[in-house]
Amino acid sequence: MKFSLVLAGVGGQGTILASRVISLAAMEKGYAIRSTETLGMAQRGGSVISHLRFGEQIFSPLIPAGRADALLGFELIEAVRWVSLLKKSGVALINSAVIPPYEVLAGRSRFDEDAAKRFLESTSADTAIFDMTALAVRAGSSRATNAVLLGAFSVKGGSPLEPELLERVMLELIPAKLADINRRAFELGQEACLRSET
Amino acid sequence: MEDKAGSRVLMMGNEAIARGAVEAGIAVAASYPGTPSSEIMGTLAGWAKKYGFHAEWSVNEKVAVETAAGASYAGARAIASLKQMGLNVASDAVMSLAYIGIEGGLVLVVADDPGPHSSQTEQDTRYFATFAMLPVLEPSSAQEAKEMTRWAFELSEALRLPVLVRPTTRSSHAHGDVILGEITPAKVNCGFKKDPQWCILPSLSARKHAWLVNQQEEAKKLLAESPFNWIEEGKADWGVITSGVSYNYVKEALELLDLTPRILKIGTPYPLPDDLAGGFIRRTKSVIVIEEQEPVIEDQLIRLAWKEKISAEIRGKRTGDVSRLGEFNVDRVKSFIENSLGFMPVKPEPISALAPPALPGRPPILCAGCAHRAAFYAFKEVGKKMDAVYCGDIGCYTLGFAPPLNAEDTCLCMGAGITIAYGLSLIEKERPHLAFIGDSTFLHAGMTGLLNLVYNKANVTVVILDNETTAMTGFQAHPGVGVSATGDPAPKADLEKIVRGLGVEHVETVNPNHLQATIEAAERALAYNGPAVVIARAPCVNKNRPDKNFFIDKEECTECAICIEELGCPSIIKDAAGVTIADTCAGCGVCVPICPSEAIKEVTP
Repeated sequence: MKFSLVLAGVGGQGTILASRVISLAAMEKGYAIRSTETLGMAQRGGSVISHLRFGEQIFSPLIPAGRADALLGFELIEAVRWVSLLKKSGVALINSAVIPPYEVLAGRSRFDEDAAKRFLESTSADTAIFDMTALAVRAGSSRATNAVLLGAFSVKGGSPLEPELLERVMLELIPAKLADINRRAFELGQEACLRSET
Repeated sequence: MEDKAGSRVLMMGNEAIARGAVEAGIAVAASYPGTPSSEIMGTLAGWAKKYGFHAEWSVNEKVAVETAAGASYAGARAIASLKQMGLNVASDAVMSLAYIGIEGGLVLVVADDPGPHSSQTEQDTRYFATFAMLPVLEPSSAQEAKEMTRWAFELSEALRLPVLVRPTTRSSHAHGDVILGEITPAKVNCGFKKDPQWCILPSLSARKHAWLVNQQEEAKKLLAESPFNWIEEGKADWGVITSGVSYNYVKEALELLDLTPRILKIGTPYPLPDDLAGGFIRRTKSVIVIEEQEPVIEDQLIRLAWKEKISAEIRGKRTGDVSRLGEFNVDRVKSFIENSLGFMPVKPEPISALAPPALPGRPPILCAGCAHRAAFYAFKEVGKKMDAVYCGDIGCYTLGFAPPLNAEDTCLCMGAGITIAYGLSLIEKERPHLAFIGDSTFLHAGMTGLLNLVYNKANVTVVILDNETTAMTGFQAHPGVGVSATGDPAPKADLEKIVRGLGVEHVETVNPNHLQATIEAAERALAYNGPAVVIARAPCVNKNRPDKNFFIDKEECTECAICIEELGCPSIIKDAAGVTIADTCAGCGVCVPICPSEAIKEVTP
């Protein structure tokens, strides 16, 4: 068994925490882990990506093109940027909310949201795209978007990590005062995925 | 974190290096932050009290290395951790230390940044090791990083030389499961023994140079016995020689290509153990050398093959099969192997029949509410009337380079903003020259340059962007913060007193979020004849958010987007719904006076 996961987003969105939750859950199951993330300068609002792999034996922390089992897209543009890492039958769980980069805001460049969604829908991956930021806001804070994604991953990610395990590890890692918001966000992510299946 | 020997823990490479140092029984650890090395000291500082060693953020890397060296002279084990450019700063000390030698094990961890992700250069520290004639170890995983760091202290003591450990971004910033070893208590019952050998006079240097050259052969013998080099037998008449993280890429690329050549994995790239490497290529028709960055192993191998008359074909960077640029990954390594074997590359099938849509770039930017943005805006407002030149420096504020601020015309290395501005001013006497430098960078490498401005009567304006932390690398403390690395109260360096002490007479301190006052201070500084300093002080918004909220009054807003075009704040959004302030707004309020329609207003509770 070898499971490879890409987490793509914008610096400050909580990709690193989500990666840590999944890593620690995989550790509990006894798997070997290799993961790596963008740290340093790019964390200041730049494009960030985490690679996370677990299984019996892992060598490279970086996932080769076309070999990822799942993609957690924290933001639409960044999801499109990295979807090529997914294997043909991979799972893509994508937040449809867009964080426009400065060059778009300043009118120096544009981003065609509909074309991006069409492209993501056209891939051979099993794709779920919905507004996870809105669900996080409904749970209590836009900062809980990563918990929505973790919830979605727990039921649709195709990994051997059980939803209960992921939820427990997540709650162990975040401050107690944020537990309720994150638990709700996690559940909303799960429900949204289960709804889209039926 | 779990610390019992034998437990299995999820660790970042840098945490594993810290653990290796603690297992080796360090008494002193010193560092200056720099990506990708910063978490080594971040971790050690958190453990210092528990395990009883001294940990500090030093003023700069030269100070850190010399501090660790002093502890080693007294017989204690010591570590300094830095990034590759930090080694340049410390190089004066390191080159001489190779001659003088050490007493207690001294390990210098120097993290390289191929890519580069967060650095000015893509330099390879293994070349520096070759230059200084110091052994260097190169880990391939978090577990190996821990074992190597621990073993490096023994090697250092056996050779009486400092030893380099060279992780790269994907070993420093990669997590893995690590089995912990026993912790050795720090050796404290030692002391400095007076001896002429500690004074580097020319007569001693001449003798020590001969000793150092001889130690290279000793080092090869010890490195050949290390557990970090190994051979994996295969089923082909060719082989791969690889080191560091590239070993992992080689293993996966070969799996994808379904090939089983022999592999020599090198953990000790300099000095290369001759017998091991020679024996490997003697039994192989051809080898491809795959190492990230420069051909350090490859060139040693070519020399060895020539000297020993070994006929194996050596392919790699010198034959154009392997790149010496950028960071490697499985796909790149796979194509290097395909190149060298003359295979047609096989690409994975695209995930969609459609072409992906064009995507806007997303470079890093100053945070919402960052006071550097306000300082840049104010000085640009004043400078634009007189075609001023803006010399930048290394830190978050390097991001002032980007539009719309365009506030960095030059950026070279730590501390160079002040001195480059000065050099420019000697040629362009009529043009105003400004230097922007952060608080931590000023203390690291700016003070000497500023003294030079005073001594040589320069006409340069220096803006110290004081956000009271080392922000870019993760909010580390420094001498101007009033807190030590381990969280204890520390004397707080007074920047204004330092600047005055260096002889600057025109000194002002402003809060850049008070835009009008900052513009006025900028006007006074630029009008002053002689070196002038403005300290623009406001805490980093990540450490201290102003407790305010703002909104854009739809009635007043003309959607002119001047706020977006002038400030480049990521919290001001323009879309179909007009111009709005997002909930990521940090409440600095700097946009309020910029709006010509007075449409940006504070939310009153």
